[in-house]
Amino acid sequence: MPTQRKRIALLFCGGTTLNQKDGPGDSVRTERDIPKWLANFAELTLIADVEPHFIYGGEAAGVGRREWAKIVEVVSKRQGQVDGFLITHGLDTLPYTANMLAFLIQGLNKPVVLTGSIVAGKTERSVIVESAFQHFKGMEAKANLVNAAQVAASDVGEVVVVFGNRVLRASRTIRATTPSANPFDTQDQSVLGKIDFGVRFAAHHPKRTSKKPQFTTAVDTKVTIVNWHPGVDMSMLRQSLGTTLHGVIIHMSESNYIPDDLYQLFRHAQEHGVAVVLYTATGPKRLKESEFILVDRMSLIATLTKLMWVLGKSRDLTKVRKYLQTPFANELLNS
Amino acid sequence: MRVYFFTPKTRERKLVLAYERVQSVLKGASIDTTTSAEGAEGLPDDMIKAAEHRSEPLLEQMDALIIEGSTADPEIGYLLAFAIARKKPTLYLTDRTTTSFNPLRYLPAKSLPKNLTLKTYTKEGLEGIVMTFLRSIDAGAIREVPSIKFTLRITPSIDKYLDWKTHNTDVTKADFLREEIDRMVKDDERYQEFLRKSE
Repeated sequence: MPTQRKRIALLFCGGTTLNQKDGPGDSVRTERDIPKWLANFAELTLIADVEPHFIYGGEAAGVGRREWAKIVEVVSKRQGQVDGFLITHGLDTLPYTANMLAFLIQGLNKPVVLTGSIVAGKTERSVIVESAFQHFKGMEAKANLVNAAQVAASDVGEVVVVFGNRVLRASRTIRATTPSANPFDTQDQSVLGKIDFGVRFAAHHPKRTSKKPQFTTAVDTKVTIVNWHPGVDMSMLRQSLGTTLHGVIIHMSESNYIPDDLYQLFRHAQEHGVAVVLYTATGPKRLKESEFILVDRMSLIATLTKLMWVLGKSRDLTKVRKYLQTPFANELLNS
Repeated sequence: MRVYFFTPKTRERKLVLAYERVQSVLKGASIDTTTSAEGAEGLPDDMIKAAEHRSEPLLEQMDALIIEGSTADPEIGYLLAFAIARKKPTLYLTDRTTTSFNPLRYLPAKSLPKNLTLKTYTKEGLEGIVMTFLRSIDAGAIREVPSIKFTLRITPSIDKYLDWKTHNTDVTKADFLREEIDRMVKDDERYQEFLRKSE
């Protein structure tokens, strides 16, 4: 019996370079490049019918709120017509877009897959792309995209990242912190699936559901991450709180002890309606949390993107605390 | 050389027998084979570790693919796309008497790459098709049993040369001659062209 032909929406958002020569049609930098790119990569049609959408064609560092909103808009409009979504993305900032989309697109009973080419013009090659290129130069960009397309045509119901031989939850994806052939990882080493001779999902992988999906493009970008180090005067932050900043993440990796001047800063922030998130991987459970919101079970990227999403919903600090501590997109580590 | 042999699940007896015949040919030719039924379990540990270390799909480790496409399966489109993207030598087989879904119909004719060999087979011709494909990838990797007896008269000077050439080696004079002829066959472009045309 013939199997039903799948249809996937392919969203171009950088990370499209097919080979090192980067000749005409090997990258999609403008909408006009799409037909030639698709002709150069005709094998993609063996997996599914491809419906192209242009989002962005510049450097990965340029992807932000506007591009995220465009992606959400396409997913929201086309969800009834396609079986899945494949998003190409430059590698440098892919984890940020992946994490953000996990919060902006919830309960979608279709796969939304992000991947990127390891190839870029030599002058455009960043550290992460160069490292990936050195490890994967035998594999080429197309194989990665073929694997991602197969996941986009699968029955997984979540935003995921596909790279190399792994399928990762978008809401847990970070840049690999240790030298690795794969530039992406998760903090709790969890994988949603592996690619060996095909895509094999873990037994617990979320499948398509009948839940009504929720989309939003509301994101508050007036947030920042500050690394706390002993002896550093944090009072300089005071001026920004409540005026230009709506949320601040204090990243504490050096100590579990919060000095008095930092507590004063927290109180000042609270008075000005600024959400202060204390991010620590070690989890100082003995701390009183009245002046800040303790986060210790998410990656830093998930914490940042979630805070932007939460503040886009509400600036009421009680709600911000509640939302930040409630899982929405399988973002809690080791769960 | 290692070949990945993909067989969709089927209850059709003639297809099951065809799968077995292909495996038998691969075994007879001493080709390391991983079947879709056994998957990664059939691979040596070092190969799995190497793929994991490089974060590569195991398919990447295969030198060639054989896909039996007489039964529709969503994996087939993926395997063909991967094979084309990675330029892996691939034999796509369909039973001549089965009306099968052809995933390649979505590919423009000019996009059909040279590394892809499409063949419909009959019960009688299947083994020949597989052997020809294997020879086209790497004739040296296939062990053919010399079974044809041939008497060759040679001159004393040729015999002297063969003695000198094989002295203190593990190679017999007959083996040496067979290897030389094998090399000539491989390097003879006109003969290779003739083989391709006569397939």
